[in-house]
Amino acid sequence: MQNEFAFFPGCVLTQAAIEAKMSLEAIAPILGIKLKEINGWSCCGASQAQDVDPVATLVANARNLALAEQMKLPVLTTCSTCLLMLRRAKAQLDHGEKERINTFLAKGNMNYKGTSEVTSLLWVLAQNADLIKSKVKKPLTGLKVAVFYGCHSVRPEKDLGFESSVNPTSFETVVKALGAEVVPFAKRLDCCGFHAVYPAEKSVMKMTSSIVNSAAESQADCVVTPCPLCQMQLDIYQDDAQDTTKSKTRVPVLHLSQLVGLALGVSAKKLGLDYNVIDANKLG
Amino acid sequence: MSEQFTRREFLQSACITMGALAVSTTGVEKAFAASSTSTPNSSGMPTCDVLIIGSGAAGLRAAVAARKKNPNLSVVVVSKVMPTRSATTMAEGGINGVIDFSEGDSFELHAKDTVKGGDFLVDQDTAMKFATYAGAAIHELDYIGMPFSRDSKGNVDKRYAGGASKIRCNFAEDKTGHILTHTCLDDALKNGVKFLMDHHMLDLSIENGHCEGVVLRNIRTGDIAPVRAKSVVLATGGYTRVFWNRTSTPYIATGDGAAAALRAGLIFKDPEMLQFHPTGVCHGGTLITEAARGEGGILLNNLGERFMKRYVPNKMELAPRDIVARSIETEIREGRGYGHDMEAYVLLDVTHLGKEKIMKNLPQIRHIGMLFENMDLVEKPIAIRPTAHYSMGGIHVTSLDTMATPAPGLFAAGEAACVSIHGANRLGGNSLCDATVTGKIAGINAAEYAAKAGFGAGKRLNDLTLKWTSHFKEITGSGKGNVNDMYALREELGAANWYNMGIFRTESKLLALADKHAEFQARYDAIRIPNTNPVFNTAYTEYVELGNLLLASRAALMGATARKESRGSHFREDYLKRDDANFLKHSMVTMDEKGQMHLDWKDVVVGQFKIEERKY
Amino acid sequence: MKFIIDRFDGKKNYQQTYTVEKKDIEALTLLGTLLFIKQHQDITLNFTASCRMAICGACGVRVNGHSYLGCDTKMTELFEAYKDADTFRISPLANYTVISDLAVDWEPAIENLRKIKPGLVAKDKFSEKEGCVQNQEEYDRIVKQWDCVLCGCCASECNKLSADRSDYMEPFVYTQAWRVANDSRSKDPMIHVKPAVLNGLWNCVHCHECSNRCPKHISSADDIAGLRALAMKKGLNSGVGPAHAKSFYTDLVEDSGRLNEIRLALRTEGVSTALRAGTAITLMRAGKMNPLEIFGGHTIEGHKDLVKMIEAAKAANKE
Repeated sequence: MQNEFAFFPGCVLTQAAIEAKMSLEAIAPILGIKLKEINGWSCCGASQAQDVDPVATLVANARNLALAEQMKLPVLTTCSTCLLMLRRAKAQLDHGEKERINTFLAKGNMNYKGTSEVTSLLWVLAQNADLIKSKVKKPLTGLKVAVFYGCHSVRPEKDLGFESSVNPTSFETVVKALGAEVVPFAKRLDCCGFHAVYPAEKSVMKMTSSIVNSAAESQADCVVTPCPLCQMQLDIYQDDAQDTTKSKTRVPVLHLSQLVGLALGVSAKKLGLDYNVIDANKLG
Repeated sequence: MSEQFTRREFLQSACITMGALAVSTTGVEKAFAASSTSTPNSSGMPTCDVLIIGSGAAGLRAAVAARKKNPNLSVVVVSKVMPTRSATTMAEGGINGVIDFSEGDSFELHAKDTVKGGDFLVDQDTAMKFATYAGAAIHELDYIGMPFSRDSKGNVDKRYAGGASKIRCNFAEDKTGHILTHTCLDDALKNGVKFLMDHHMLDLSIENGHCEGVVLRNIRTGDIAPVRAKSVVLATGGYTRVFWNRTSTPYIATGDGAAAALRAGLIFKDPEMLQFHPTGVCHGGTLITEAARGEGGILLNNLGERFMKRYVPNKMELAPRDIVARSIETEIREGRGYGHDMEAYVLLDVTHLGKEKIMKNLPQIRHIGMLFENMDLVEKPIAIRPTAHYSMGGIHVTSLDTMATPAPGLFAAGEAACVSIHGANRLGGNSLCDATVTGKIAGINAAEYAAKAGFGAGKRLNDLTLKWTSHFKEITGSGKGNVNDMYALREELGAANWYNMGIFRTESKLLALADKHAEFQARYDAIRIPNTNPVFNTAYTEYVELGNLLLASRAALMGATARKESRGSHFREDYLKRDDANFLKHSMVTMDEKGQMHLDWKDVVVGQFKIEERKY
Repeated sequence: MKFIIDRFDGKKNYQQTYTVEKKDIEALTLLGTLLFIKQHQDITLNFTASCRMAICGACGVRVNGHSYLGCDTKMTELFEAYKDADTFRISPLANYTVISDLAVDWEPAIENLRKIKPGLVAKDKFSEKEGCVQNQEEYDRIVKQWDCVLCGCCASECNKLSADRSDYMEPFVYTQAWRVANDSRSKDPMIHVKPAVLNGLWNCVHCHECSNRCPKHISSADDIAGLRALAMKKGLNSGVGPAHAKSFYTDLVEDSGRLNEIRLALRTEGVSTALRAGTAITLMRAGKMNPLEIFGGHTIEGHKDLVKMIEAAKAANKE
């Protein structure tokens, strides 16, 4: 197993989703995963910066990847949008843009070679389901989980490519390895709306609400997502979203790393369950 | 003030809401009125000044031309599908038209090639004008936005097309037709053309010699209603679906316009002239473009021989379309093909070109091999057989100057029309410019006519509407009938036409086919459709289409039987030579009120090009 | 095996199950399977199809909740994607009004297309008589978007349209706006960009269903981003959307190199929501953010170099 990674936290893990970082740092040593944060990483562009300047965004990510290459390690991120942005950049660089972009990187004495792959926490866990199983201390028996993939962990398939975007299974594999029950969940591949919450607030609230309600209809005890942005949207905006659709339903929303932590026997405090807006402590 | 904020509110304001919008949406134009029609009448069906039937390139160009000619007129394009689902979009190779005179090409040479390609069954004055308009059309299409492939100077790029003496086939990669279609749609939207989608023309009405409108069935609701129009343009495409599964054209190319014109007493000209393309995919007839052979693809029989050496040793696989098609059929007939009957085929082999070249230059045909034959032609040869490709014949139009039929108020354009540009065989690259050129002319003249004309009385139109209303009830009303009857008959019609009126024709086969047609017609009349629902009853649509195909088949058969010569696509094994003394003329088929068909002849217009043997 | 088809007869919705031998359809396309069912089992089943070679766009349908162009999808692909499932659910495209069974109403989409004025308005130097001039590079830039066949596969899965169709258009409409706005022959891209902006351009939720489902591998999501960039470059930059995107860029280039979420909110929503600045204190209490980051934060290591790189790219772009 590849167990050492150049860690790309992404802006959100350093700030508003600090519990995602806490839980990740809690579970990694138990699973034997070594995360070395990339020194001087910059924002990935978050699927926004290209609206202003696509080349600048590509340059920033070429630099991020080049920094990881200097560490001679593959990149790991937990944020699906960072995953998409980094993988897209890599694909563009590896298919024709490398030379041009390297002339810009040279201004800071850097060079992109294409030697570091980009992966996500979800994918690494799915590839090591047996290992996870062996490390489970508190099997999540009886816990009904609605797995919410989030767009940028599967789409577009040509950029992500780990598995089918219409019928993915990695997340179910991981959750089952933890001993939990995966409930049928109609909205598991839908979009939470996070990236458009300002401009298209009404629509986004509707999207968020329908995901929460769908999980509730499936009798799920919680929604789990590998993406911290989806988690923020479904958690922080859940009250508002449910208000707009006049629904009383509330469902806790966990980061993937939090759920894994629960099964590995990590304390609720270390997993940052306190920070979840919809009460998640009861799951701890 | 922080106390007033809950933690949740804080997080909401702080978290990265990347999306964004919110440029105000005020001032957004109100959604277009639900109906595309100009002045709906009480029946919910439109009346309009210029009614265009068909939304391929010819229909769309006609609509724009009519709007531009007279913006005060209402112009509606009726289509049984969404615009852009037409045969135009399937054309790949290119669009002829001389725009570069530097290498000695001229309109005259284009016309000459067209006349010769058509085996001299082309009206030469028409060909000359056509070539002139074709050149202008290329620049016009460029100007309205068609993205052509470009040469090193930034001008429209061009390639060779079969039968051309100069390079003048302008193209947009290998999807010229698709790009042309969407250019035409964009231009139609820009010019305020309205659409009436999912409407099927059942009949057109000629009263006192004038066209007064059409009977439309709203496929969505099942409503059958008369639509009065000052002028009508038929741009309904060809009828090669008479060979059902052995044609490259779309399912919808069922000759609805030609059949309606026949029923209305108009002339179906040169109906026997149907072009066969040598390389269709065995299952389903889709085209493998000529480029596959152009790139070096070879044809093999079941002995592994490059059989073209027997027929045209100096040109091999790159001989003209009709000759290659006949060679393939000969191999199959003499037992050197694979499979049997409608499933028989020979092989087209491109494997020696290597994966890289195939992926680069022939990706589309590789994809088609995967889709239809479940195979990768990088690895093995693909099963092919000739496939019907184009209808040279069509609704008789008196002159390219107007694209008017003999009935005032009725115009025709594109593959539906026959203004004798293509004669007995159309040249590659001439169909797209036919649609573009004739569509525009028809539109201009339809608008001119509409500006002066009034609406007809509509009595006959109402009678026809009543007839069709009861027809729907009769055919579907009982809810009885066998699911498969119609589809089986359609297959049988296609096979019978293919064997008896396909690439090789003889008197005895054609006479046998006449009996078959009579039998098919009887069976057809007895078929009932087990679907009583008027809403989007596609089975009924197919039933009407099959009726039109039967009619077109009978007209084609009449011409094919009477034309005792071989000319272009029409190949009579019992009359191997072209016979200019007797048949340098167009076959003109009409149908009387009793359904009896009649044949007349009209001399070909000969001009500056000498009638000679067609040799390449 | 079974095909459960979502049907609509004009009045009521229902599901119908068809049982088919796998051997009869396994070599076919999805469209071939539908034709097989119609012609052998149920003549009342309605759907649309025309060219059967993936160029006319007529036969888009959904399988198991995902859009496919019927004639361009081999059954073997579906068996592979759905792990040899023996039941498939076939439905009409979503986000369209269903007319009957698998047939949908295209009229509103065509009217949306009309809004962005898809027809080229050529530069004054060109004429109808002599056409235009365009070099290969300029042609290559737009030709991918010309592959759009109006099949509707993108619109069917668009999460924004599913939530609300009233302030957004089918993704292909933006793609078509992009292709004409970026045509070197065009007199003024704003003829097309402006109506795109006025009709929901900034409302895309970035779900990437459009780019994922396009049978021609066109990314409308990218075209939407391209139109936004063009709109801002041409001065159409008022409103929350552009402000937000710019603010992002500012953090990356002019500030620390990472997103400052407080500043982002401020820049996005402007002075009117300056009130939210007070939330900084709550933020610290909540412990979710590093107070140092709020008021400027620490700049990432090597940020100066990053700026140099971006400046170089910008300069090259201008050349």
